[in-house]
Amino acid sequence: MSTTATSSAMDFDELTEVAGRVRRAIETVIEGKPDVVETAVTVLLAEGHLLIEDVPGVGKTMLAKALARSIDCTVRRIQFTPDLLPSDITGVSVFNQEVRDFEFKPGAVFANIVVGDEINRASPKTQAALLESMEERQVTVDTTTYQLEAPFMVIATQNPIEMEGTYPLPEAQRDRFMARVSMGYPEPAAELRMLDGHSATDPLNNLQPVTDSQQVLRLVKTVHSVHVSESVKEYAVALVGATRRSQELRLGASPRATLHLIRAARAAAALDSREFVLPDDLQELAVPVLAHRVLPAAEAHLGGRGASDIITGLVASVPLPRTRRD
Amino acid sequence: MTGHVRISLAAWAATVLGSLVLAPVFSGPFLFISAFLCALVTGTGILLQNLRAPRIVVPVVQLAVLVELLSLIFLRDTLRFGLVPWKETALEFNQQMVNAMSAINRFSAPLPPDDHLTLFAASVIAATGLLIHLIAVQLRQAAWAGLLLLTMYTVPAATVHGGLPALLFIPPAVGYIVLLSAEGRTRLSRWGRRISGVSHLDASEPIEASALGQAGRRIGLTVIVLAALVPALLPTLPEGVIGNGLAGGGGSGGGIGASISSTDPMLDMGKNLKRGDNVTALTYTGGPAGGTYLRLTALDQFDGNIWRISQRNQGQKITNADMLPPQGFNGDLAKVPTTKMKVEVSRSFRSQFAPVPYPLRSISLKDRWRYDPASLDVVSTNGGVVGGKDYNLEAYQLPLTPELLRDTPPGAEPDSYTSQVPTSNMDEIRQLTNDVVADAKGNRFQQAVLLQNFFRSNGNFTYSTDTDTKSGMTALRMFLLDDRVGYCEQFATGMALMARVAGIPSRVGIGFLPGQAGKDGQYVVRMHDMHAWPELYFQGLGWVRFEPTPSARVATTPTWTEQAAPVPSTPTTAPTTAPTTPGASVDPELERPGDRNLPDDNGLAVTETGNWFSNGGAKAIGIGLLVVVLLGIPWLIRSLTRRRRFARPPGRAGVEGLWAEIRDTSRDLGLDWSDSSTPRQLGEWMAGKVPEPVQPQARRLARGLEAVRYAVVTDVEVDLRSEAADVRKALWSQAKLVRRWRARLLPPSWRWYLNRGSAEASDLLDEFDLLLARIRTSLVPRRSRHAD
Repeated sequence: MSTTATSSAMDFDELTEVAGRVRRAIETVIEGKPDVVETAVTVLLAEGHLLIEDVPGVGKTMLAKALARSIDCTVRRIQFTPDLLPSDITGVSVFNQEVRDFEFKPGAVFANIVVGDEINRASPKTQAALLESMEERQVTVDTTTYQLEAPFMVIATQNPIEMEGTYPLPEAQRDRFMARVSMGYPEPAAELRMLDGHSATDPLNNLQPVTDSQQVLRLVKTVHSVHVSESVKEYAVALVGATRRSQELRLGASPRATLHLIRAARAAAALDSREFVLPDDLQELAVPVLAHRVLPAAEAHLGGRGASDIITGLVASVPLPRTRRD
Repeated sequence: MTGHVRISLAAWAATVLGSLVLAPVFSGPFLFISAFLCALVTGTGILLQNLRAPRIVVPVVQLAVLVELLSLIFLRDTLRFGLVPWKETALEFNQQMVNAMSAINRFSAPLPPDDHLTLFAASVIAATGLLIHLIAVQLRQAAWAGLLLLTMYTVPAATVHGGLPALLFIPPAVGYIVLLSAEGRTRLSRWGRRISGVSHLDASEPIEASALGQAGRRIGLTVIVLAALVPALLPTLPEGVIGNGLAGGGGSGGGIGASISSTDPMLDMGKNLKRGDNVTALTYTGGPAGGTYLRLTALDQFDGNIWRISQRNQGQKITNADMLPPQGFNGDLAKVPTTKMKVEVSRSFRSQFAPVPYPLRSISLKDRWRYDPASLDVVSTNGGVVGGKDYNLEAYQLPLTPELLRDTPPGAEPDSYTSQVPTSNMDEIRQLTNDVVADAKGNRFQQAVLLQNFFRSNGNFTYSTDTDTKSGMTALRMFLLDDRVGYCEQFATGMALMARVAGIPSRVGIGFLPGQAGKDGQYVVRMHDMHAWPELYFQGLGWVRFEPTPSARVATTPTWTEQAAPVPSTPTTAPTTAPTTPGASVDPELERPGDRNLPDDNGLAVTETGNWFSNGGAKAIGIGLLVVVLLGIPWLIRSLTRRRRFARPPGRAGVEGLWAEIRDTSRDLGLDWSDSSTPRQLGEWMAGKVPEPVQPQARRLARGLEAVRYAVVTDVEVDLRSEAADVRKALWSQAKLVRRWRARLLPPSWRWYLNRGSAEASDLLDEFDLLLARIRTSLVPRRSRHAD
């Protein structure tokens, strides 16, 4: 018992230490956005995929690259364009004259971290190819299934402003992303520091990996050991259920959202060196995990309330589950 | 199903359900017949509506159908060609209605299953159904149909002796809700489907699933359930606590006493004897030692079923001079001693008859008060009541002795009706009477005394007001021949009837026992002292009071009836003791509260002191104590809960209890505890409310709760009692004085528990809605619902 407890404590120490290193590494590139970085690391440890949505030039791609670069693992970057084909993502079987047989050339998705830049620029067919592999963590080409190597994480960026020539991700596909973050503009001070630091050299070039894929896998395993009490599960169900009943939402969150919420909360608890999830974790993650999956009703739009505001309101109104005996 | 069909069916259902309230009034198959008639009338309406008949035609045809059906069922012999109602049909119908009205006036509920009564009931219900259909379907004003249902309900409510079964209001109420719900649904469906955000999810739901219909059903259901449950749960309050205890608002009938609508004084007496409270009816001073019976009136006519007051003339005007001499008294009234009294009648006693002793010589009530020379009762001529009046009077004290009575000559009758005996069903009673009076050898007085003894001791009679509420000849026969359990009504009417059978003219006096002697010679007479007794007529002496009611109720018999006839030395198994002995061996369950008012011939047993305490002060103190106790209940429960929570052993349940205690304390003190905040947030919030030294305790409490509630289940014993006590104390000390007192007396945390209770109730109603929806889905095919 004590051995397990000790090893468990060591695991958590390692996790916080490694996560801290990753965070610090990313923050050398992305300044003044600790929340976004925190969420990105959380999603990494929760085995989810991250959608970064914001206007151009705020560092979406930089964040994706920085996260990928800070881990010593295979990284692929796909620039989504309208003429990108699904086979570019998944790979293709070509006939090898030498061996006189078809040979599979893996596509861009065969990597530990896949950075999908401007995912909404590709055609829905191509988007679907990526999203399918995201969910199933495998690729099927010509009846042959190829497993993707763990850890596997897709970090996609999209630009919500430019609508011309884009194919916005449908709700079903947005649901595959564990969390969505918005970069937001940096603080003036952070922007000043950026001018100093980034004007001469690309900080990404200086970024060295601080961990490797094997260690990340170990950390993920540690996250799995985080305890989720019945009370917290009930609270997660209540929160997600509230999105389905809310008058302000046309579409509530899916059961997959509940699953993602709990998984993300586990990672957040582990990052906080805690062996159990608190309702606070769910509350903090509610907006990044739920907001991109719901559709505000027309009235909410007219009232100027976005999905994030509505989720924040729900968090403030859904009571914590009652204890049976008090 | 189209809208008008739905409302038509609902109107039919409402009529049928509403007609159930008449079940205690009528008997026989009238409910089935009327339901059948209404169904055919409704069917006619639906058919005509589907044929697009003009709106005015529908009720006319329905009425014709109803008349034809009634004629076919009840008046077949009068129909021309066996089918067409004719003039004879109308005359026969009229005659049947007259017969029915007469029977209704004569009998008390339940009425016998005679044909004319069944016709009457079926006609009334079917006509009501027709009107409900007209109002709800043709005029589309379903809400007003409720008035008809209410009217139907008031009939039994006003006439049934002893009140209606408590839950009988439910069928008409449910019928009304069904009708309203059908109407509301149809009305809404005319506006089309409701607009909704996610149209594909609920477009197929019928309109009544809308919040409006749901709310309506919920309110209706809740009200019915509350109306049914609350009276059952409430303790029976003495009516006097709330009002004067008398429902008799503007009852302008000839009724006496506190009842509302009845014209039957006997019914009023029965009700007054059985009522929960026992308010003072009147007080008097003066009169003979030991008090005197006060009579309201005499029921001198017996129609074979009930005793009633005979048709009276205008009555004699009351003047300062003496009244006419008592009927049948031949002696010299100038030599008869008199007694003077002063009577004060309580406002709550709303009778048109003035309580007076018999025989009355003079009374100070004037103007609109008159007296009847035969009965010497004093009655208001304009419907005014005696309540609140005080008057002086002088009454004769007739020198009655057994010897005098024994020597009266037989044969004389004061009038034509006080000797009338029913002609049918009297054989057994006649036989019984003959057996009882056999020893009297034809002497009227001896016969009367034997009858009195028979009721009081020899006949195995038991006094109880818990008898069946039936009245009339059936009940009287049962009383005399069968169970022999009754109260003064049965004893008085039984002896009066048997006296008539024996050839002695008799009538039934209704009034009060002498009441309870108070200080200063004042007597207090209460509602439970209402009483009935027979008065028998003796030539030369007039009407003489007897007392057949056993000693369980009335201890003594009139002095002139004592030692007059040989009373059997062993009263055998009689449940009551011999006359003149206060009920020592009476079954305690049968004793009335009024027993303490037993008349006292010696005037010695003065028990009421009449001080402030007994005259309502005790009640005031009691109410005050009750209020204090009620105010103390929340405090008591909170204290016990707190104690229980702090007494729990360390561990998960213990910490949860402490946390709940801090939560309730915060709510009690008016602090804004949020249910949607996490323990950690609440810990910080608490830390902001308490002084700095206690802040770590507040945080530790929150962390402790986190550990026991969310961490891996372990058997750790977290003891946070001292932390919780510190935080609670700190929160308490920070609160204002007013808040603290409110927290003690009316802890707002209760409101939270109430809300929680109402949430549970709401869940229950949700289940109910779901059940209704399922039933509807299984009963009504989906396509027909879409056709709306």
